[in-house]
Amino acid sequence: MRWKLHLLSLVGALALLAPPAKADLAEGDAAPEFEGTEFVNTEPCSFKSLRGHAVLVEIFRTW
Amino acid sequence: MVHLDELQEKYAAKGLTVMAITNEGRSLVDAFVAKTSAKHAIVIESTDSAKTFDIKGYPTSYLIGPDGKILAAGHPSEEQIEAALLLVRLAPELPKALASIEPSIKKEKWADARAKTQKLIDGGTLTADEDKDAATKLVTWIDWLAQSGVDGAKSAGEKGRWYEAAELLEGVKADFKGLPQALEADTQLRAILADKDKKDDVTSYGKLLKAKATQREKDLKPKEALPLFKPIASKFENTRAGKAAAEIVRQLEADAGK
Repeated sequence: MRWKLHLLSLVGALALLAPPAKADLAEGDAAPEFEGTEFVNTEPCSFKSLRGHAVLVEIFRTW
Repeated sequence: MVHLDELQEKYAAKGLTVMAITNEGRSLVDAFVAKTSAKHAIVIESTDSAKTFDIKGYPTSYLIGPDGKILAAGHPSEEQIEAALLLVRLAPELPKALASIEPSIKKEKWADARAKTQKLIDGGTLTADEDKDAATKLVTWIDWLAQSGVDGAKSAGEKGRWYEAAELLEGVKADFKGLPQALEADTQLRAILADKDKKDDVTSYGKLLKAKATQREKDLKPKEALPLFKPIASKFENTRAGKAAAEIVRQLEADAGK
């Protein structure tokens, strides 16, 4: 009987640990597409057109 | 961003694409390139990736896997980049016997390319083993490409990002028309749009992106931008875009009062 109680409390604890349904963007999420208007040092591209590649994208400001 | 140039030089041949993305104006970017001699790709966007990726500060980088999903958030290490490169699935090289497929591939007419390749395989016109092999690889690759879009939509949906899911599914529908994955995308898209909450997310998020793009393009003053965001905030108050719009409205009202 006691192990059952342990199991129940474990399930409860795991439920508390479970991430909320709408967590921030994280590993495993589809990268949100961007819409490029101008392209420097590259042909026009998108995450979709780069499917198959690994992409390192840096979101930056020039300042 | 010397670091990005170094990574590009080191890993480009293995399938890494390095890019920096901003929504600042061209003149700022040109000045930046002149100053830093950056050689890597820079994209000026009409979207707002800082917001869609929800970054906490500039710069922030992400490693995106070949399937379009985020592999590492924050600042990926070289170990993580090397691990990602093991997953790369570049389009197979086409031998001369498959030259007729090339125009379809260049135009990203995937279903067309797949049908033509399959015809060559079935017709027995490919005699050399390496040609048959390349053709089979191409078909497998196109199928994988289509499936990665459907899978990406699924993972976006699991996080309640229905707008992104719908965008991916629309892409699969259009790019792979005639293939089973396009049918599946169509079915899933209909299911999303048949659910009011999900549809609201798709509609409101699209409107929010459009409003932001208009604000930026026309360089609107706070007072002029308000009518763009108010309807989204009031009509879709329970969606993430509605909440974001409400936040923007508060900010614009505060700025307009100054």
